[in-house]
Amino acid sequence: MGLQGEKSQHRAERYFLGEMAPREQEEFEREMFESPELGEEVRELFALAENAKVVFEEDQALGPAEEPASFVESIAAWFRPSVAWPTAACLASAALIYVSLVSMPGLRNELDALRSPQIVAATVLRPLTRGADNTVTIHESQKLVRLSFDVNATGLYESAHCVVRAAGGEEVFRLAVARQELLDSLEVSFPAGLLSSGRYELELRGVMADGDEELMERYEFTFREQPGS
Amino acid sequence: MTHKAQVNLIPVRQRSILPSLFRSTSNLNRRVFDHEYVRRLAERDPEAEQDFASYFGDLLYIKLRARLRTPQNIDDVRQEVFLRVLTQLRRKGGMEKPESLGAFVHSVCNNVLLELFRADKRQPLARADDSEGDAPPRPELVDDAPSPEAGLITQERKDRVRAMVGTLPPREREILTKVFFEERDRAEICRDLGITPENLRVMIHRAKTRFRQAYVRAARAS
Repeated sequence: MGLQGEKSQHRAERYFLGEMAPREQEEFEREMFESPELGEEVRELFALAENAKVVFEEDQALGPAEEPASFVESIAAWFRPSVAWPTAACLASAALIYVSLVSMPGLRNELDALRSPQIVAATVLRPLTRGADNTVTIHESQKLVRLSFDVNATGLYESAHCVVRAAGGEEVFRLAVARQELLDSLEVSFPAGLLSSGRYELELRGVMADGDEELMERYEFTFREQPGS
Repeated sequence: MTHKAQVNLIPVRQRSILPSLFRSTSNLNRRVFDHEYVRRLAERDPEAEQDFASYFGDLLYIKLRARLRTPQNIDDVRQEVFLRVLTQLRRKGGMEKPESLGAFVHSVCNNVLLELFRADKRQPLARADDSEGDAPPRPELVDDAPSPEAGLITQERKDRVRAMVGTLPPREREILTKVFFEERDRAEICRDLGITPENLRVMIHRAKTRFRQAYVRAARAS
């Protein structure tokens, strides 16, 4: 790689990182348009950035990889016959302590939070048919999730079902939607604790007069919980 | 934007900085702006129009994203630039120096920006330190809206990029995460990682080189 090429590459990186003064930036952009090589290099850098951002975002939403087998094996060692009963007794005691001291107050706090007035911004979902990639981000302190989406062809159905499934296909919850609720748009609210970070799909299935169901719309979204600020 | 109704004259903009890179292998070949390229554009050759819209559309997006408030504004300016450039190319006499096509597109873009900022009082005014020389006014850097490209990132493309990122050494992956995903301040990144700004630029460059190599390999394999 020649000195000129190396200099050019560093300039592309400086431009991307926003390190250039306005005049220098303008001059760089002029060259970026004039030189196909430099233009392609800048396109490539921004393409890397945009794609990497999405990939990292999704990876983080899906959580850490499974624990390695060696870790599982080390846990399993605690359940050898010679130590199984004492281990079980200890675990039972620990569970009792956890429920008494941690879970119950936690549940009470959650119930209190749900009973209190709160402002929850709705996340508008765009349908899969439009190539949408939705992300629902909530803060740790947020107790409710509210999703909003359009409802089409409302007059065709007697009622509908709103079904949320995890990426593996298991149903998380299902709600019945009455005919009079099938307006142009629908909002679904549910406790944040029902979902953990990851990929989900929401299906809206219309129920016709003869009882048959058909898919009205499908939405995919990534659910992400951020540490509270 | 006085010709907004005519923007469909321009080849369909795929709204893609990323998709265009992954859609074709044209970036593997050296792009040349010569008499033949300009002639095909002037004669409405669909392939030439597509390449023009894809390549310059990306560059315009990169330039405009830091200057305009909304994706809609970016799209409007981009379409206006395309319209003016193609109109000029299709006039009698067209473009005498085809190698200057890129410079011409850039110059038209600056003119459109100037007109936009003068016409629209709601746009932030130029900062005093930016109005030197021929540079167009530069409003505040405001771009909180989602990227107009985000909706077109498909699962297939993401899978390919994920595979490429997976080949990176942990150190480079960590840097990419901090720069591209966490979007942390570069001085903070340098401090955390114990590197200089120059080191950071070199690491980003290396990551980009690996990214390109992986893409070239995948494109050739397919």
